[in-house]
Amino acid sequence: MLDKIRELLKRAWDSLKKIFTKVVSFLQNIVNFFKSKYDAIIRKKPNAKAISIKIKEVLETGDYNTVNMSDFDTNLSKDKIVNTFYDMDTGEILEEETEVISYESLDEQTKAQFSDKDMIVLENN
Amino acid sequence: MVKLIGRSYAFFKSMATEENLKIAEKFLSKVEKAGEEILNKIDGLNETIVENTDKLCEVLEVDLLNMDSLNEIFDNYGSKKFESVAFLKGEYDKKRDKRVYFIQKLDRNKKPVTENEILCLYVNNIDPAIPQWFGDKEMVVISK
Repeated sequence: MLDKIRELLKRAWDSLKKIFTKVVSFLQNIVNFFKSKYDAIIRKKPNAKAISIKIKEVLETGDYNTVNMSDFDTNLSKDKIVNTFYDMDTGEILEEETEVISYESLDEQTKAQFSDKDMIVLENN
Repeated sequence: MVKLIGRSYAFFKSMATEENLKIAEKFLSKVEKAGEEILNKIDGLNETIVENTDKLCEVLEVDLLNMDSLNEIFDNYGSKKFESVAFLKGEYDKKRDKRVYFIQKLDRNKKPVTENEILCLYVNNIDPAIPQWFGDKEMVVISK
C-alpha cells in the first residue's frame, strides 16, 4: 500500500516539476524578449540577423576585398607617415585625399623636420 | 522507512483504502493529461517568443581601431575557432560621431561559425590603413 502511495506522490511531484520548469523557462523567454527590445531601442544595438544576411549576400556575390591576418604583423613592424589635407573652413580632414606611407627608416632631413613632434603642418599661403 | 503515529496514522489508515487509491490514481492521470496539454501550449508559446526575439549584435566601443585592437577583438570576442572574418563597413553614426563596423567569424567554407553572432564596433579613431583595405568595396574578408 505504501509503495503505491509513494508512486502516486512521485508521479504528482514529477508532473509539478515539469510544469514549474517550463513556466520558469517561459518567463525567462519573455524577459529576454523585452530585454532585446529594450537593448535595440535604448542602447541602439543593431539587429544581428539583418547584418548576417547582408554579409551572406556580399559573400555570395564575391564583392569584397581580402586581407591576410599574417600581413598585420608586417604592417605593424613598419612605421607610417600619414599625408592628409585639412580644410580650415569646414574643420574637416579630407579622407579621400589621405595617403599612408609605410617606412622602415626616415632620411635625416625629414627626421629634423619632425624633431620631437608627431606632426608637421604645411600651410598653403 | 516511514513511521506513522497517533491520529494522523488513524486518519491515514482510514483514507488509504484500495478504492481511494484508485480514485487518487484516476485523478492524478487527469491532472497529468491536463499538465501535458499545458506543457505543449507553453512549448508553442516559447517557440513563438524565441522566433520573435531579435538577436542583437554585441556592441564594442573601440577608441583606436588598428591591427592590434582588431587582433585583440578576434581573440577575445565571439567564436574561438574560425578561419576568416567578414569585416563589413556600416553607416557612419552621426549622432555618436563614430564609424561603425561589423564583424562575423567564418569557417573554411566562408559560412558563419555561429549563426547570427555579430560584433558591432563603434570606432573613434582608425588606423588609416584599414579604410584602404576596403577600396570601393563595403566588405573585407580577413583570412588567418
